[in-house]
Amino acid sequence: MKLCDFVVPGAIVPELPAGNKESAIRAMVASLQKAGSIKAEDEENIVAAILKREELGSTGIGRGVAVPHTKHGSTDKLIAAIALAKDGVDFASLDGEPVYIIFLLVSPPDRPGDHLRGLENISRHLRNDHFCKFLRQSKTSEDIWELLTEADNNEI
Amino acid sequence: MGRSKDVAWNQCEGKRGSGETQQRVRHLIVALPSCPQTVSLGSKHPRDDRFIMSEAVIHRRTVKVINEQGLHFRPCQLIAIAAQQHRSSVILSRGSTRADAKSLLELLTLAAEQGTDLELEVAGPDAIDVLNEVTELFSCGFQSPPRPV
Repeated sequence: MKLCDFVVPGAIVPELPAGNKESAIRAMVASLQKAGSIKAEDEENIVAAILKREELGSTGIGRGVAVPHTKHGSTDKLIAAIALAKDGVDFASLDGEPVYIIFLLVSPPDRPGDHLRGLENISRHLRNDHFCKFLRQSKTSEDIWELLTEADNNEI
Repeated sequence: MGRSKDVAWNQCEGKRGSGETQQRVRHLIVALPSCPQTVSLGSKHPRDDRFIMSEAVIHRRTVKVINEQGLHFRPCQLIAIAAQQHRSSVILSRGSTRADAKSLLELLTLAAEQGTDLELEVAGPDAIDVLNEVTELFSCGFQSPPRPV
C-alpha cells in the first residue's frame, strides 16, 4: 500500500486556519466531504467519532505530527486527508509540543488490515526527517501530492 | 518546492547520538544466542560491571496479537507508555522488522494483525517487570490495565 493509494488528492489542506484540535479535525473531514469521499450526512458523525477517539488518548505522536482516525461504516475503503498547520495546533501530544502535520484517517470497520497498513505506511515515512521537513515546507496541494509520490517511489 | 535539504541534513546529524546508543543495544541482542544469558563484557571498572551485566541479560518471549483489530494505534500507545516507565530497553520484532517499544512511531510500523506472533526482547535493570507488563497487555488484548507485577 502506498500513500497515494489512500490519501485523497482533493482532501489536502496546505494551510489550516488558526484554531484548535476540533476545528482542525472539522476542516479535514469537511475536505473529505468536498472531495466526494464521504457523504454530507455522515460528516458530523465522523467528526464526533474522531473526537471521541481522541478522548481515549491523543493521537499526537510527537515530532509535530498527529494522526486522528476512526473506523466508520460510511466508507468502504481506507481514505485519508492531510493538513499543515503553520502556526501549530495544540493536540495534547505526548511530548507536549504543538502539531504542524496532521494525517486524518477514516477506514471501514471490517477491514482492520487496511487500517494497520495505512498507519504503518504513514509512520514509516514520518520517521524520515527529510519527509517531515519537506512536508512542512510545502505551500500547495500540488507540492504535497508531489512529495507523497516521491515518498512512495523511495525518492526522498 | 523550495525545500531546504541542508537544514534537513543538519537535523539528522543532531539526532545521530541517540541512534548509536540504540544500535549498540540491538547489536548485543543480535549477537547473543537463546536467553536469558549473562555475558561479562570485561569492563576495566569494577563498579561498572553490575550495570553492564544487567544490560547484557536479554530476556525473550513470544507474544501473540489476539485482539481483533490488531496492533493499531491504541495498543501501540499502551505498549509505549508501559515501556517508557522502565529503564530497560524493549524491542518488539516481526520478522526482520524491529521496533523500539518506547517509540509509538516505530511500533506502528509493525502493522501486526490478529494472530501475529511478535518477539519481545528486553534488557536492563527492570527487565522482568517490563517483560511481564508488556506480555500482560498482549494477553488481555489491550482491554484492561495490566495487573501489578
